[in-house]
Amino acid sequence: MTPSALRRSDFLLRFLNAPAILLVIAFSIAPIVYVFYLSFQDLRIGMGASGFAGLDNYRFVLEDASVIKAFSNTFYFAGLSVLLATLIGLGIALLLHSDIPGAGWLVSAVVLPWAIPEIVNALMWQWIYNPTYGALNGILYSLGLIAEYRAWLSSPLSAMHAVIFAYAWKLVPFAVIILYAGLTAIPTEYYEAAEIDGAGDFAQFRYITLPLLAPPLGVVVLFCMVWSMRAFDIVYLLTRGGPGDGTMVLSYFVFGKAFEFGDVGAGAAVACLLALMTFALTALYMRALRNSAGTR
Amino acid sequence: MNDPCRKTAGRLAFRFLAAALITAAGWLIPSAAFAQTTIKFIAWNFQVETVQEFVKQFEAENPGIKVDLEIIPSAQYAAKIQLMRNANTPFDGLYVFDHVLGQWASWLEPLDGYEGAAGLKAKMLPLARQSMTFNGKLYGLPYFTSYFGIIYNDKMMKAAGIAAPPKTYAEWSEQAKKIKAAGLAQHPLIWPVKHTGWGGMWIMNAMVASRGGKLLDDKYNVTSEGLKSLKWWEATYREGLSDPNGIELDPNESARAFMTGNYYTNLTASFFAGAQWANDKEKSKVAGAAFLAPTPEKQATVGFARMYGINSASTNKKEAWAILKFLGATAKSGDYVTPKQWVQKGALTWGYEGVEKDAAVAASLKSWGADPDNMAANLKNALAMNEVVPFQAVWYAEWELFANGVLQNVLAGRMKPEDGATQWSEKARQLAARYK
Repeated sequence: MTPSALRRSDFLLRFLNAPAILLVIAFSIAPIVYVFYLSFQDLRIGMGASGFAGLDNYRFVLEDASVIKAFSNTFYFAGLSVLLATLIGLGIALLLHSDIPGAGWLVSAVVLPWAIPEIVNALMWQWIYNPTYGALNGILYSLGLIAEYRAWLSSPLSAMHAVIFAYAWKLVPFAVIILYAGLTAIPTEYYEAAEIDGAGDFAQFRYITLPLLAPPLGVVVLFCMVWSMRAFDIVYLLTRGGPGDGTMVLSYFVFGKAFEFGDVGAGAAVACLLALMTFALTALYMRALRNSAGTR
Repeated sequence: MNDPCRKTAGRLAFRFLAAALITAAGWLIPSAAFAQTTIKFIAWNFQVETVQEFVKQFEAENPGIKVDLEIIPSAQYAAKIQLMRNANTPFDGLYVFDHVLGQWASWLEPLDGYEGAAGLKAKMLPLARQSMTFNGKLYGLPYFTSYFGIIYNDKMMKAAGIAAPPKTYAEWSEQAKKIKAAGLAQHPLIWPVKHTGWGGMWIMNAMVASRGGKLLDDKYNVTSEGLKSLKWWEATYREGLSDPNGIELDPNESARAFMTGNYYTNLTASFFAGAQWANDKEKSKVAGAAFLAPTPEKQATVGFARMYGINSASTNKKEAWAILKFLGATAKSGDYVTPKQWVQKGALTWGYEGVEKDAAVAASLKSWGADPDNMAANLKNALAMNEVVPFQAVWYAEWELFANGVLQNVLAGRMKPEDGATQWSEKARQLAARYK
């Protein structure tokens, strides 16, 4: 190809990519930059004049016990949701991979929650946890596991776990799809060789499945972690951060601070801290993945 | 040159133009004669059909104004309105919560200068006037007002051999213990204490007012009346008199729980005793046996007002004021058309003096066992929230959400009342400093 033809092809590529790049700038980069800018502004609705606030917003939120609590709740929520979704997802993926009859049908059934919108999912769990007519109380009561109906969302600990379970239920299909695909990519010869060598089921899982499943597991953990860190709908509809501040996670805190109470600067500061945390976690995880890939 | 083709073309063009002019005139003349201004009015989703009916009545009385009514769910109302305002979304009139007035006053239209506003203000109940006035300016006309009282189950009370509802807090506890001991209710007391929406802290304010005090003093310390109320309330949960499962119930849900007939009292807004709630003959098991009693001790209480306001950015303020007057005061006949209908359709009480004297209003109140004069007296004497807490501070809504959470922790036994009171004070000081 001549240099001028190369230049033309390069221009064409840029030209064809331009709309996508513009959209990314308009809807991802520009809002992030704007929120970062707002986090340094003294912008409180109802207070009239606003201006540059330096680090005041960051100082204010970091000194606020509610923000610290929201940070710890977010870590707990995200950590447990990811753990639960990954373990259940792995279990189901292994089950589907084990040649059970009707596995194809089961895959479709398992994927179903993924197709349910977040809002519908939250409303469904609202009904399941209802203290007077909820399905959970009904089932546990009829099995004799509880003596009387319980208000699952009325204590911080049970509310947090109820929300985590509801959110993990939504994450599981994603974990199953990725891990099932990972499992099918592992050559069967490895298992045949291991069997000849006398390796049992657990040894096969420990020394073949798990190491070869590490990259898809990494993808599952990474994506689920990022989604969990910014989970909003489920908290908004099930508990609104309560009881007390028992389920107050950062994304809901930001919404309340900025949009309900009009402290836009402080809300933006918390949003930036949340974004920073997510970036840091992602970077750390990617690095760990690269290192582990390098050592293999 | 007389070209016949040109002549024909000229005649055709002339006829076409004439036809176009006549058609345009046909469109323009009627629309000029019946020029309509469309205003956008925003409401939350309480009895939407009733509101739509009121809008129709208004449009019939004001043929020059068409109302584009937008309904927003209550739970998202405050946040969505704030977003619309920030985004300069055009709207003219709206419902306003009194607890966000301090925050919204910067963009709401002061109404004092509008024709007839001074006269209406003079006729308002003190509760309505105070709740809708911020920094000396009037920002709304009343949608409804309500006060806090004890709704009690008369049937349960009499079954336990109790003669009258409680007049002191000690008596209230004793009565609840008696009812519990008699096996009439596992937990005789139910409260709306969900941490979002109005709930726990408004009940707290009512209790503090009933003891004749404020919740926070000038330095934002919790007063002795405040701490006393909190300790009494916490004890009712500790002693099993209050239902622990009710801790996540909002006012509507606690009212519905009371309707099951399993509870003795529910301290809440007065309208929950109405024919649409506790005295609903079809849905409530306590219908005919649910009555309103005043709060104990000094029997003072707090109340609140919801209002109609105008967006200061509206370009149709005259028309917005017209609908405000229709909905929040009188129709052209001078009659309180919509306030009276709200009493009948929603047990929502009024914001002006003398509405209870209307025969239909009095009959409606009596139909569910309320005494119109008694209700009017309670409404007249109810304190506005800002006499008990810094209700109109810009930061109040944020403080209240926090305080509701702390209250839940105290009532559930996760925190001592003294520690809860300290947290209320510290948060109030922190927010007051931020919004100085």
